[in-house]
Parts: sequence; structure tokens; C-alpha cells
Amino acid sequence: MILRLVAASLRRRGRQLALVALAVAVAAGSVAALAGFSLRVSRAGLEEELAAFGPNLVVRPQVGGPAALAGEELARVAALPGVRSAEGVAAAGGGLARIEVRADRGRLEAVARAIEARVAGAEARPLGRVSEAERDLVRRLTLILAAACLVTVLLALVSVAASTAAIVEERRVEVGLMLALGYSGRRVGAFLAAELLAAALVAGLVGEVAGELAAGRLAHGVLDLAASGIDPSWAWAAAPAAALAVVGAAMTFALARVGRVEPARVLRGE
Amino acid sequence: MPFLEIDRLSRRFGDVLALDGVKLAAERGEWLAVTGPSGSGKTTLLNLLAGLDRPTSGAVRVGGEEVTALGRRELARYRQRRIGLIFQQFHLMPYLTAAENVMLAQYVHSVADRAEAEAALARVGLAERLDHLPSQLSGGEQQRVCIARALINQPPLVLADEPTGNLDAENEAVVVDLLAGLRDAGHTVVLVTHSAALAARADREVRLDHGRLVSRPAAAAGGLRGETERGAAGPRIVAQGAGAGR
Repeated sequence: MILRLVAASLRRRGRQLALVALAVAVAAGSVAALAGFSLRVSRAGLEEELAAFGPNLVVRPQVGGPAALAGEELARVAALPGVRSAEGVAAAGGGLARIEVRADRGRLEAVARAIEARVAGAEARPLGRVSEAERDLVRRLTLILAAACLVTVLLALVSVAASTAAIVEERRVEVGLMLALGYSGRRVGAFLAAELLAAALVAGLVGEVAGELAAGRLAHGVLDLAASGIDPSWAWAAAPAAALAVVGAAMTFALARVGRVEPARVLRGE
Repeated sequence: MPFLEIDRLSRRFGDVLALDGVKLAAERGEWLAVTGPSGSGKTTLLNLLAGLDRPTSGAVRVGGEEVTALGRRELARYRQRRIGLIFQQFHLMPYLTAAENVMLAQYVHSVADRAEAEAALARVGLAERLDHLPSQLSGGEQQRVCIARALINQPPLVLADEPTGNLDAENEAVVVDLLAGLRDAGHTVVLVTHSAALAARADREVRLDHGRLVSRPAAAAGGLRGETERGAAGPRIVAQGAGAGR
């Protein structure tokens, strides 16, 4: 019955609820974009802590040691536990000037020590792969996205709250009638919020898809990260959570407004 | 103990005393008409009986339950289970069909049962109008939907506020017959009306003026049935109802 009521009401108030859905979709989209971008940066190892200690190891000939590394050292380093890849950079006079190693972040120090133990005269030290400029770019983009999130979520809150107020005001007689029939204020508020929830679900989904695509394009365009499509991950929860938070706040507001409706006066036309 | 008992009921809105110490009683299955000029407190009385408003002083008891002492949640339950409301303006949900409007009252009470709602509409002569929206119904038909909605949960107390106020003579007659049928089916009916003709169909008529019961329309058949009490020093105007009519 409530579903029927909500569906009928949605049809009647499509335009009004479309505006609410738009505001929620923009907010959800910006939250999804922030979450998706942050996730991609994190996966690529571009976050702040990696700027200081990246996953790459550079193995150089020690001062006073051999001028170049022998080619077979490359295979030996690549076979070490925790090493994901090892790539040699050729030296001018033959042999290898250095070996660049990618390792699991958690095992970085252990791999470095293992290389020093296995390769005579070599010094292995962790290096940040990300330049200072890239790190600043990531930080600024993250800040801009976070600010956009804050603004759009606040705007969505204001617009949803205003729409809810308008809906309750416009439907005072309906609210008064339901209260007179014996519906509790909480139940009437929930009925009104169900309409908003339906709008928010659609908006959250649209926002999620748009935000994820934007995050992928941003990561690809600015940081040259490969993933530009939709990334199924925990970030998917961000936009629906934002939409629910906005609607939850509006629901609280709706309940407060419904609580102030006096059915006796409303049904008398006052 | 009478089914409906109103004990020295007063309601003040700022400086205006809308109801002034009204005492009234009605038995189960009795049709009581409350008449009086505009602003005499008729609708205020009805709202207090429905638990839609709270009195400044006094008490309302329905079936032994003191309505005026109930909390918000209990009042909602009281309206679900004991009250059927009939409005002058019908107050139907404009985007729900006739059947769905009736089911709206069912849903709050228990579960929505379309067959039952259709039967209720058939009883008020709207079997062919089940899926019509209120905008597709005449005023009389809308009022009959409103009556079907009021009756769907079989409430012991039916409160009707000017139910024929917006109807032509033909539809008024239909509604009056329906109200008489309610009384015959054992519902206690309290009807607020300006219409002397409609009030004459009730078992008993009490008249309100400036918030007080002022008249004795007919000889009482069963002792004290209605009065206005203004305290020991004030005027005491007693209105006794007639038990005739059934």
C-alpha cells in the first residue's frame, strides 16, 4: 500500500523530486569522484608516504666497488622473495649501471637488505618514484575534489531540506488527513521520506557512475594512470552513502515538520 | 456507563472560550446531532472527541477509555480503532482511486484488503466507481467514498462534520440514509450540522451557542443526557436530549 502511495505520489511530483534527485546526484557524483580518484592514487602508490619511500629500489655499484653490475645479478635479484620485477639500466662501459626493482611496499626494507647481502659491493636504498611536483598535484586535486564534495553536499542538504519543507507545506492536508486516520507522525514522515529515498537511490546510482567515470578520466589525464573506466571497489559505497546521508538529514527535517502539523486546524482549512 | 461521556469539557483559544464546560453523553448505537451557529464550538467539540485536539479542561471518555489522558501514540491508536471521520470537504487523496482511498484507512488499522474496500464502496453505491480518481467523481460520490473510508474499520464512534454541507438535495438524502444505516448497524454517530432537516433525522439534537449547550430540543427519554455546567455560582443551562427516533 505504501509502495502504491509512494509510486502515485512520485508520478505526481516528478518534477519536484527530479530537482531533489539532481542535487543529490551532483553531491553523490562529487563524492564518488573523490573516492574513485583517491583509490586510484592509492593503488598506483602515489599517495604521500610513497613519495618518500616508493616501491622501487635502485641498486647502484658502491663507491669503491665494481663500476658496473654483472648481467647475471639481474636474474639473482629478480629471484629474491618479495621482488615483483627487476629491470637493468645499461652502463656506458658495459654491464649494468643500476637495477631498478619493484617490491611489495611492506617488504621494501627486507628486499633492500637481501639485495645488499646477495650482490657484492651493492648498495640498495628505497627511492620515491613520485616527483615532488606529482605529489603536490595529487594533493591539490584531492583538496579541490574534497572542497567540491563539501560544497555540493551542503547545497544538496539545503535544497533537499527546502524541497522537503515545500512538500510538507504543500501536502499539509494529506499529512493532516493521515494523522486524523490514525497514522503516527513518524509513519507519515517515513512515507514522505520514502519518496525522497526513491529519488535518492536513482540519484545515488547516477552520481556513482558519473563520479567514477570522472575519477577515471582525471587519474588517466593528469597522472597517466591506466584505469579510466569504472572501478568496482569500496568506492562504490561512497556515493550511495552520501545520498543516504543527505536524505537521512532531510528525513529528520521532514519528521520535525510533520510533528508540527495540527490535523484539526489543517482539515478545517486554516 | 454511557459509551460516550463528555465531562465539563472546555477549550480555550487565546481569549476565546470555544467550549465552555460542556457535559454530554451518548449511548452505543445512538445518533446525536450537534447544531448551532458558526463559531459555536461544534467542530471544536468534534475535534476533541476525535482526539485531534486537547481540551483546556474536562474529560472525554469513549467506551470507558479517557481520551483526554492519552499520549500522542495512544491517541493515534485510538483514532485507528475507535473513530471514523466524515468531513465536509471529503479530504480524499487526489492521486489515489476510490478503492485506494478506502484502503488507506484499512492500512493504518491492519492490512489493506482490496476485496473488503470494494465491498465497503459497494455498500455506499459505488461498486462501479472503484478505480475512479476523486477528480472523476461528483461531490456526492466523493462523500460516499469518505463514508466508506470512515466505516471500513468498523469504528464504534463515527464523527461527521457537516457531511452534507457541499451536497445537493439528492446526494444529501443518500448521505442521510447512510448515516441512519450506521446508527442501525450499532455505530454511535455524532453529527455536526447546520441543517435542521438533517438534525431532525437524528435520535437526539443538542444545540451549542458560544461554546455552551443551550437548548432542549425535545423531551428527554432517558434522564440527563446533555448539559452545560458553569460552576456553582454561574448560570446552569441544561440541555436534555430526546431518546426518541429509533
